[in-house]
Formats: sequence, structure tokens, C-alpha cells
Amino acid sequence: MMPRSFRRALALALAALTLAGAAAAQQVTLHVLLPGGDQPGSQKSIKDLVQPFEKAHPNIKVQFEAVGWDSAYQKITTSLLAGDAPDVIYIGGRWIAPFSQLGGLLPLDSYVDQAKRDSFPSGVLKGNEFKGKLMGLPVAFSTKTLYYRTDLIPTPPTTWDELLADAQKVTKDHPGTFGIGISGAAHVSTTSQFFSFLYQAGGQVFDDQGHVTLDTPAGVKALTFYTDLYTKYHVAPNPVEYNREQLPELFKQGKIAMMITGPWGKTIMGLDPNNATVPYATAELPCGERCGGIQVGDSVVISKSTAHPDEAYQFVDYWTSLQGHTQYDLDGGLVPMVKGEQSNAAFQSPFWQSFLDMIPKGFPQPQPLAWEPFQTIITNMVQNVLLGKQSPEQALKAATSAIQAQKLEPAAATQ
Amino acid sequence: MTTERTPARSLSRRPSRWAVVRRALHPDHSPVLYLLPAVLFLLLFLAYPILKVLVESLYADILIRPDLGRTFAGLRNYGRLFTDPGVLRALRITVLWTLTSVAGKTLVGFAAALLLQHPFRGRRIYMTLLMIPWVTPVVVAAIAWRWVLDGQFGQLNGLLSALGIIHQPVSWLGQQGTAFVATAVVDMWVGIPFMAMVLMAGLQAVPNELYEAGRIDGATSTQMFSFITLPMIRPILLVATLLSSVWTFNSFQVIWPLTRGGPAGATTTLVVRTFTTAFGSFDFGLAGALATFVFVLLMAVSYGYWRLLQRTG
Repeated sequence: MMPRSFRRALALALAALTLAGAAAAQQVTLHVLLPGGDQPGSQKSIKDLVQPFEKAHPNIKVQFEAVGWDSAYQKITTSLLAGDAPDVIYIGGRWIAPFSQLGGLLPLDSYVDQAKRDSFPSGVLKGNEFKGKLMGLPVAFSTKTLYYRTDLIPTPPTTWDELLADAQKVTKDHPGTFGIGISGAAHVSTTSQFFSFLYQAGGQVFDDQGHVTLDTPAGVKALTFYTDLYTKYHVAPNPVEYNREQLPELFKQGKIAMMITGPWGKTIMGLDPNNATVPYATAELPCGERCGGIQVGDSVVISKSTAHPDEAYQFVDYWTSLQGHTQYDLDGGLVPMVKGEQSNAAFQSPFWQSFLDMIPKGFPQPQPLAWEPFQTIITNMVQNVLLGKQSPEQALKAATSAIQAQKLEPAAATQ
Repeated sequence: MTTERTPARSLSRRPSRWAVVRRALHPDHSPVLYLLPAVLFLLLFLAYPILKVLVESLYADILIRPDLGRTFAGLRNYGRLFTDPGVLRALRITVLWTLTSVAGKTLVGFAAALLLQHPFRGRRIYMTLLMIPWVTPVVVAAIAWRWVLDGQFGQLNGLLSALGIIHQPVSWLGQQGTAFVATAVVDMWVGIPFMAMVLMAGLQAVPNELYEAGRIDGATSTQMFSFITLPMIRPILLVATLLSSVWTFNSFQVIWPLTRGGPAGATTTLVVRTFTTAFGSFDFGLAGALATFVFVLLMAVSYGYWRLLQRTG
């Protein structure tokens, strides 16, 4: 026989448990995966993003998880395949197509209204569509400019010929300093660097029907110019050793006088333009047949397996809002993207102006059906020419047939 | 309360049955029971994944392309394996890389073992220094070496140009030949301590009487090395090089941080290729075939070695 007091205690405990259960049902914890979130600077960005959001949404708790960019693709792909992906994921824009293709992402069409759509540059938003559906929202975006040493190169080059001439002059007059640094390592940035030259030469990777069009006179011209900087003119240190994110370090050490990179070049160097040791400025990219440069974006997506799609979108919405995103760009030193951001006082400088000037001249990153094998093919193509193993013509032909054989062309999608 | 007394009572009533149970549970009579946890562990974490890879190798299945579907492919993945010039090149590179690295490890490790087997002043310091590569996490070591070998900032170039050996910086990891040698040397650096330790243990096990007898018979030190030391430690040498070969063949942690298999595939060994096929292309069928191929190849080599060892024994 149970004592009465014990029964009462039991009833109370049960009631408390039920109440706690109800409260727990209302309290939602969102898991957000941020590649590169392990870097020191990211902590401030995350805090500035999460705190105001949690204050405005007391029922939602946001938990950030970090992964290095190097292993991000593998981690995200496996977690999407296993159906246990974080609720919200920050991804490279190049992964929109493959992750949509494998059915891992939640389409956002029903959440995003026209006003929200209009707050992004239309080209950048378009990069987030897959087969007519909106699969993510742009969350970071970059144009590239030419960083150049103002003490060695008085006026920045505006054409390919001037670029080469300036690079040759610096290399000749300043032993120990190369005219330019370019990327040739097995890294995503090698594709970006080469594609800007490809575009300037009048070429493109895929045509409007999604067929590969690398093996063209424009392709030959671009690959020849790009690799000749090292193989023929010796105005660049061995590109095979470096990816673009390592060039700012060479620039800072005075080993190279020019490089093409995004605004983070300044952040990595930790030096402002016109500093005393390596004075530099940024300028629009030199032009070939046409002017312009690649625009690469990052996106924020919601995984299809999330148990809290509505709360996840509330967070995505805040992240890409004028308020949330301005702070995010300021903390991360990224090109302002959301409508209204550019008028912020922090972006009024010649440095930022050069990046803003490149926006209308940008072209989007190609969208192969799977990025990583595509990247391997392109970097191998560039490396084979840099190492003298293949001529530009041979390398472009080999890359074209590899892309076709591995069914990576957008046109190869069967659904 | 009552439960505590039950076994005691039953024990006192039917001692024979309890003894039977105890006898049956004794390790001498039923080893299976005690091996069970280990067996289950091996089945779950070794046999199951291996079987899964084997099955996967028979399917055409690209995980990131659900639109292409998953279909039974028979041996077609193996067909792709042997007609793909990239795979054949990776096989060639792997064999050459393994031979280079294991030869280096064995020679340097053997030399270190010979030098360190007799006591001398400062021997402990050398032993400690020798152990450093072993206690360093391999990935950390590889990343450190990446900077040592860097073309523009690397300490190696700094040292060589200070000594006047080179006048232009060498891009060690940016050229095919030097990248191949550099990755092999870093792999040697990582593997030498193991070789030295094992061979030192082997040398210590050679009975001193043999050397004394040799000395009495007037053998030179070269003769003593060739006719006493070498034959005596041959079994150990074989085991050590076999283990080292298998590890080196599968070495991923050194190559990946240093070159990611580049430049232009010059250091893409079979494991690197398997990794990029599985977790870059997510082509699990082809990756499964590659992994199975490496598995069978290493089993065959190990079996050959084992036979050799039996004969030596």
C-alpha cells in the first residue's frame, strides 16, 4: 500500500513532466552548419547574427556548428544522403545544383515573397534556382578585383597586354618579386581564376543548352595566356603550389606585385590599402575581348529532413535581411549584396568602390551537375599545361571529353 | 530481499547443476563465449564494411546522382577499372612510391638500429630524437612539412640557398618529379622510427655467442654482418618490411595534406584515387571496385610474404 504523501508526490511529478514536455515542444533548437566557422573571425559574425535573432524569437535557439571548407562538401553530402543534415546549411553556390539533384534541399518558393526576391541582385538569386525552383538564398557574394602595388605599378593595367607588360617590368626591375601571382593548385579558386580569363576571352564553360564549350578558340586563348604567365614569361611563381587564398600572403611578403582576389584579400593580409610596407590599391580586372569577372556566391539552404522548416526559414530570412546581412558583411568584410546595404557608410571607400564597380560586369559560376569531379578536371587541365605535359589545345580537349564522359554537363540532367 | 538468498539456497540444494554451469562457463571449455565481444566487434566493424564494399562494387551507383539510379552492374566497374588510364597510372605510381618509401625506411631504419644498438654517450638523446616522428600526429607532420617544402617561404629552400647549393628557389611540391620524391621522403620520415625500433629489438635478440664464435674464427665485421646479423634478423626484417609495405601502400595522411594527389596526378596513389572517387565523385560503385582491388592485391602480396616467412622459419 502506497502512503498518501508518496502518491501526491508522484502526481505532482507527472504534472511537472507533462508541463516540461509542452514547454519543450515550443522551444526549438536549430542546428546551423557553417563551413569556415572554425576561423577566429567567424565567432564575432555568428554572435552578431544569433543574438538579435534569438532576442526577437525567444522560442528559437540557434546552435552553430563549424566545419573546415576543405571537408565541407564531403560532410554535407554524406549528412544529406543519410537524412540527418543540420536544419540550416551555409554552402558554396556551386553546390546548389548537386545538392538539389540529390534531393537534399527544401524548395523555398512558398516562403520567399516578391519583395524578398527583389532585395537580391537578380543574377545572384538566379544562381540559387534549380529546375525553376528556388533552393536557397544568397548569403554572401563576391566580385574580384586586381590588387596591385602602387609603388611598383603607378597606373593599373586595363588590358591583357598591359597586364603582361607590367608583370614583366616588375619581374625584371625587382629581383625577388614576381609581377603577378595566379592560382594553379587543386582548389576551387583555380577554376574561378581561370574562368574570369575565359570569360574575358569571349568564352564560357557551358552554353545555354548546358553543353560544354571549353574547346573553342576563346578557350585556347584564355588557357594559353593564363599559363604563359608562368611557363613562357616567368612572371609568376609556380601557380601549381598556390591557391588563391594563399596569394595574399605572397603579396604581403612582397613576393608578388599583383593578384586577383576578393575583398578578403585585405582581411587575410591585415593591411589597409596605401599602408607603409606594401602600399596597394584595387582596380577593375583588365579586359580581353570583353571586360568582367566571375561572381561567386555562397548560399544558405534548408535541409529537406529538417523537423522545423518554419523556424529554419525565420532564421534564414533574418540572415538575409538588410539588418542581419549588413552586420554579417561588415563583420566578414564581404561585398554588400542586399538592397540598401551599399549606402552604408562603411562601404564608402575607393577599395569597396572597385568591388561594387565589378558587379554589373560579373558572370555567374558554371553549374555542372556535380562540382567536385568537375573541379578536378579543370584543375588537372590547368596543371597539365603549367607543367608542360599538354598543350592548351590537348588539355581543353581532354577536359571536354572528361566532362562529357562523367555526365557533368547541365544538359545531362535526366529529370 | 528474498532474491539475494535464492542462489545460495539452490546451490545448497542442487550443487551438481551449478557446478555444471560453472564448468560450462569456464574459459577452458567455452572460449567462444569470451571471444564473443571481440568477434561481434570484428564482424560489425571489419567484416560488414568489407562485405558492403564488395557488394557495392557490383552496382552502378553514384550517390549524388539519384536521377541515374542504382542498377546492378556485374563486373562492369572492374572493367572500368582496368581500362581507365588514370587507374593504371595510379597503380604504377603507387607501386613505385611504395618501393621508394619502404626501401628508404628500411635502409635508414636499419642503419639507425645498427648505430644505436651498442651503448654510447648520448644514446638516449638520439633514441628520443628518433622517436619524435612517431609521436607526432601524421597529419600535423605533413602540414609542417608542407611549409618546410614551400617554394617561396620554405625552410628547405632557405637552408639550401644559404649553403649556396641552389640559387633559385625550388618549387618542391609544384613539380611532378620533386613532388613524388618529397612526399616519399616525408613518408619515410614518418615511418623510420618503427623500422629502427623493430630492427633494434631484432638485433638485440641475436645471441652474442655467435659473434664471439665469429671473432674467434677471424671473421671480419663485414663477414659477421653478412653471415650472422643478416640471416639472424631476416624473419624480423621480412615482417617489418611487409607491415611497412602495407601501411605505405595505403598511406593517405601524408599525401593528402601535402599535394592532394597533385600536381596533375603525380602523387595520386590508389588510395587517394579511391578517396576522391568515393567522397568527391561519390561514385561508390567504382570506388568499391578500387577498394576491393587494393584489398585483393595486398592480400596476395601478404600471402606471398607469409610463404616466404614460413620457408625462412
